Amino acid sequence: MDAYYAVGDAQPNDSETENTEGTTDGGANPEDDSKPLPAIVTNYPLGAYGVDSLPDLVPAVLFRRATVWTCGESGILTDADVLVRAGKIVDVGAKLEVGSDVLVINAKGKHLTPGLIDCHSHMGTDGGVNESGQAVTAEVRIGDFIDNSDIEIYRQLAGGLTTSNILHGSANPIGGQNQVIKLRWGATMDGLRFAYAPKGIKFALGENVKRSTSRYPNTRMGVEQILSDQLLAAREYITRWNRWNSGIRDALPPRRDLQLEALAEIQRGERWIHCHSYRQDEIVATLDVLDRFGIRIGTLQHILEGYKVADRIAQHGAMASAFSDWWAYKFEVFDAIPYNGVLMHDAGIVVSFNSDDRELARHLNTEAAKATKYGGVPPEEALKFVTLNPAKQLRIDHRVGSIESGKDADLVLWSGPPMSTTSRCEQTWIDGRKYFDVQIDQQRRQRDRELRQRLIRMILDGDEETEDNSSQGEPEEEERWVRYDEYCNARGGEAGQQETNRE
Amino acid sequence: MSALPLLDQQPKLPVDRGLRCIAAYRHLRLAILLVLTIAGHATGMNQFAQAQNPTSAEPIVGLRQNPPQSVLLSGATVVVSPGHEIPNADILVSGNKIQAVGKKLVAPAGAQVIDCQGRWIYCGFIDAFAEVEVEFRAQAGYWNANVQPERSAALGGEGLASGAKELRAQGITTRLIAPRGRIIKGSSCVTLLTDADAGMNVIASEAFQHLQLTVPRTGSRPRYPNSPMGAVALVRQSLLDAAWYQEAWSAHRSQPQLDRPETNVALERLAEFISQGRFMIDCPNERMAVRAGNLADEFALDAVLLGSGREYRAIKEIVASARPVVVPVDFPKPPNVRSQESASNVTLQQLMHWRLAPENPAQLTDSGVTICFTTDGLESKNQFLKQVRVAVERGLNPTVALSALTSDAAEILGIQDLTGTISRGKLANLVVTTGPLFDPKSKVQETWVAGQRFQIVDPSLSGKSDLVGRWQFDLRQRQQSVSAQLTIEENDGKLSAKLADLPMDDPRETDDEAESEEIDEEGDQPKTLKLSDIVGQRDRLSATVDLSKWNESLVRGTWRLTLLTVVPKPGRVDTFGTMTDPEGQDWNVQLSRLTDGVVFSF
Repeated sequence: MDAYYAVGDAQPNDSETENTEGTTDGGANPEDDSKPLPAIVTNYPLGAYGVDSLPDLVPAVLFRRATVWTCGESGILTDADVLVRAGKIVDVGAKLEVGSDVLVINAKGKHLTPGLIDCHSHMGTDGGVNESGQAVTAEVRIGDFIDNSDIEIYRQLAGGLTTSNILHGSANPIGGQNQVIKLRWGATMDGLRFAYAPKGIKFALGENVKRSTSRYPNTRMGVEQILSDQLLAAREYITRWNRWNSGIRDALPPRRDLQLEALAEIQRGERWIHCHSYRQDEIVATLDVLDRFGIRIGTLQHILEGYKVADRIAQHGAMASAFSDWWAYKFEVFDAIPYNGVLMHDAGIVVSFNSDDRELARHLNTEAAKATKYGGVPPEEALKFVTLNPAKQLRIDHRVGSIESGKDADLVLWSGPPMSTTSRCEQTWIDGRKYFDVQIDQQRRQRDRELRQRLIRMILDGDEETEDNSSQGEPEEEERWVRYDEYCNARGGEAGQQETNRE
Repeated sequence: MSALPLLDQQPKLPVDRGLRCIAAYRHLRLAILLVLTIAGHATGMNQFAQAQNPTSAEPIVGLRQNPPQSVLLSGATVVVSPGHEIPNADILVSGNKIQAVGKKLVAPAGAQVIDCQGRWIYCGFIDAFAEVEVEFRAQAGYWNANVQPERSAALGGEGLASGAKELRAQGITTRLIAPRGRIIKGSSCVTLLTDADAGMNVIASEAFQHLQLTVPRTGSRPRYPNSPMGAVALVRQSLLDAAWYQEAWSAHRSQPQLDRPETNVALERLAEFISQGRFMIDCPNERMAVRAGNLADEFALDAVLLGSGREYRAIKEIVASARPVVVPVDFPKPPNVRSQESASNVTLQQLMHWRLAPENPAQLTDSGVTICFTTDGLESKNQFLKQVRVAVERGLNPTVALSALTSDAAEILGIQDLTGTISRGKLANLVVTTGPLFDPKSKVQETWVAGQRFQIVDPSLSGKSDLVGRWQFDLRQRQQSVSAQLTIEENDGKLSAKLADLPMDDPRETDDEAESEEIDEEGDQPKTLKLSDIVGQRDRLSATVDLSKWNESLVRGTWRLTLLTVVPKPGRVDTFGTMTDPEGQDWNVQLSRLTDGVVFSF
C-alpha cells in the first residue's frame, strides 16, 4: 500500500493555496522565502493524527497467504487468502485467482482476524456518559453526543478494535439509549454510527443505582419494583396510543413520551437491554421480571457472579458480556472469579469480554487470551469472545464478527498470533478502508512533530501576547464532562476524585 | 453656534402633530413591537420647540428642547449597502429616520449641516448576541425549571443598554439581547444603543427563542438534567409537549366533556415559536453546531446557530445544515510556548486553533454560509473592530464582512426593514469613519443611533480641551499690545496655563528654559507667569492673571481671560478670545498655535 500522507508530501490542496497563502503565512520563516512551506490547513479531527479525508475505499483487495482466524465455521485457515470487494468480504480460501485490478497485500507469516468488537465502552461521547438526575432516563441518547474527535477512537483502532458499543453509565435502573459505532477515524459524527445495529438501552442494578439517597429506589428490592412498574407504564402507554390510532376519541390525545416510547420499543422487541449486573440474586430477580413481560434481554453486562446462575441465564436465553479478570473494586464484586467466562461459556451462554475502559479497549486481544489462560478455552473459541460473540450480543453478527463471505470487510492484520502479547496490530480495516496502518502512523507522528515545531516558531517569532497559563478560563464545553462511568467504582480513585469535583 | 430658529411663520397647532403621532403609535401586540414611529416631520416645516415628544408618550418636564429637526451629513463617501458606495454624497437625517441619500441634497431650512468631507459613512453595525439576567417565571410554567420559554429579555431583562458607549465606539448601533441561563432560555429582543430608556430602544421583542443543548453553567442546577444528553432529551420532550398542548386544548374545546388539560404558559409560548417564531441555538463547539442543525431539522425549526468560532472544524456538516451562524471574533491568543515546560503542556490542536481560528469567518462565508458577528466572548468590547479586521486580513472578503456587520445581520435578526442599509425610511443608524472601514488606520469618529449623534472621542484624547498646547498670545487695545507664549496643559483633567516669553530661534529650548526656571512672580522680569482660577470646559476656558506682573506698564489688578474654540472640521481649531482689564476695558486676544517652531495662523 502506498502511504497516504508521506512526510513533506504536498497535501491535497497545496498547489492551489501555496501562492495565495504563502504570503499571508505570518511569521512563518520570513527570511526563508525561497522555500514556501505548505499552508497550514484544517485536518479532521483537528490536531494530532487528524486526516485530510477518509482513507480511500479500495475497490478490491486480497490478503495473500495469511493465517486467517475466520471466527466462523471454517475455523483457523493457514496460508489462506481473503478477497474484499467494495468493502465486503467476497471470498475466503487458498490460492484465490484474481485479476490485476486487485490490490494484493502480502500477508505471509501474519495473522488476519475479524475486527475486534467491544460490547461495553464509554469512549467517543462528550454528552456526560451518565444522566443521573432521574431513576429512569430511557429518553436520553448517547447517539446525540458522539464525539468523533476523541483520540481514543484512534488509539483503540490501533489495537485492532473496529466496533464499539457506547453505553450510558450505570446511575439509573433504566438508563439511556446506547449507540454502536464503527471506529472510522476522521469521519463525521453521523459517519461513526453502525447503521445496521439495532437499538439498545442501558439498565443497571445494585449499588450504583440505589445509592442516591434523594430518590427511589434505595434497595435492590426497589430496583426490581421500578423495573416492573415502568414496563407496566409502557404497556398502558401502548394501549392509549393503540386506542387513539384506531380512532377512539374518548380521551384527550395521548402525549408522546420519549421515555415510555423507548420502553415500549423494548416490549415490541425493537430495543435490546444491556443490563449492568453483578450479584446472582439481582440477576435472577431481573430475569424473572423480564420473563413475566415476555422480554428477552440483550446482554447481561459485567455479570461477575454469572457462573453461579449460569443455568438460569441460559434458560432465559441471555448472553453475557463480562470482564476477564477485574474484580474486588467494591463490595458487590468480591465474589468474582477469573473462571467466570469459561464457566458461562461451558453452560452454553454466548460470552464476550469487554473493556468498560479506554485503556483496556486498546488490547482486547489479550483480554480474550485470558479465557484460554484461566479456563482452557481453545484459542479459536477465545478469540470469539471479542469478535463473533459480542457481534451476536449486539445483534450485528449478520454484518461483522467473522471472516465470511458477505460480511463487512472489518479486518485486522497482526504481526503474529493475535492473542500473543508480543504480536501487534499492523493494519486495521473497516468496510474496505484502511483506517490504521502502523507505518502511516509513524509518518503522522513525524508530520505532527514538524507542524508543532513550526507553529511554536511562528509564535516565538511573532509579537502577539501569549496566553497566560495561570489564568485558566472556563473549561470548554466538552471538557466539562467525564468520559467514563463515574458511577462504576471499578475506576477507584479517578471516580472518587471526580465525585468530589462535582458539587 | 447655531442660528436661532426662525419663527417667521405661524406654528401649526401642536395638537395636530400630536394626534398624528398618537395615530401612528398603535401598539402591536405580538411578534415585532415597533416602538419607533415616523416623526411626522416634513422637511421644510418651520422649526419650533417641541410641544410634546413626537416619538414618546413621556411628558416633557421643565424647559422644552429645541434640537434641529433635520441634519444633513454632506460630502462623505457613503457606503449605502455592502459593495455599493457613492462618493461625495449626502445623507439627510430627519427625526430618527434617514430621509434621503444622494448627491447634492438640499438642506431644508433650519437643518444642521455637518461637513463630512473626507469621511466614510456606513450603516450602523449589529452585534447579534449578548446576554442579560432575566428574573421572571410564570407560575403556570413547565414542570422542569430549565424550560422557561416564557422568559423575555424585553420584559424582564436587566441592563439592556449596559456598555452602550463602548459598543458605539465600535460603530455598533443595534444589539440582540437574550436571557441568560436555563436550557430553553426564553426570548430575546433587539435594542438600539442610545442612552434613552428601553421603550425607545427596543425595536423588536421576541426576536428568537433561545436554546442550549447542555446544562447551564450558571444558576441553580436542578437534579434533572445534569448532563448534555439529558438536556437534549428535555428539549426534545418539551417541543413534543408544546405540540401536544395545542392538540389537547383543541380537543378539549371541540369536546368539552373531555378532561380539561393544564394551563401552561411555557408550552403555549413554545408552541407559538415552533409554528411562527425563530430559534437561536447555542453551539459552544463545532459538534454542538452539527447537533443543533440536526435537532432543528428533526423539528423543522427555523433556526440560527450561535457559533463558537470552531465551525471550521466541521465545516461540511455546518454548510450542509444551511443555517445562518452568528460568529464570535474572540480569536485565541497564542498558547504560551516560551519555555520548554510550558510548550510541553500545549497540544497540537491548541496550536492549530490559534493559527486557524481567525480563518473561521472566511471559511464559513467562502462555503456559502451567511454569518453575522457578535462581541460575545471578547474580553474587551473595544477589540471588536480590530478582530473583524483580523478576519478580513485572514481571508474574509471585505464586502462580505460589511454585510455580516450590517445587511446580513439585519436579515438574520429579522430587522431588515428597519436597518442594515443606508436608505430612505430606515433608521438613521450610521457610522462615520476617518477612512475605509477595514483600513487598520481608520477610526470610528461618530456613531448615529436612530438619529442621535454620538461623537466618539479617541480614548487617548479623551476629555482634552482643544486649547491644550502652546500658543502665540497677542493682546491688543488701541495702540498697546502684548505678545507672549501661552502654554495650556492638562494633567489628570486639571488645566493649567502660563505665559512665557515667545520662543526665539529654537522653541524647544525656550520651552525647557521656561520649565526649568518655573514661576517667579516676585521677580523684576518674570520669565513665566502662571494663570489662576482656570475654569476649563471642552470648548472654552476662563482664567485670571495680574498682567502688571508681566509688564509694569499694564494696569495692576485682576485681568480676566475668556477663550472660546470652534472646531469647524477635524484637526482645525478656531479660537476667539477677550481679556478684560481691571478697569473693565476689553482687549482683543489673538491666538495662533505654536508647533515645533512653526507658527500656524488661522
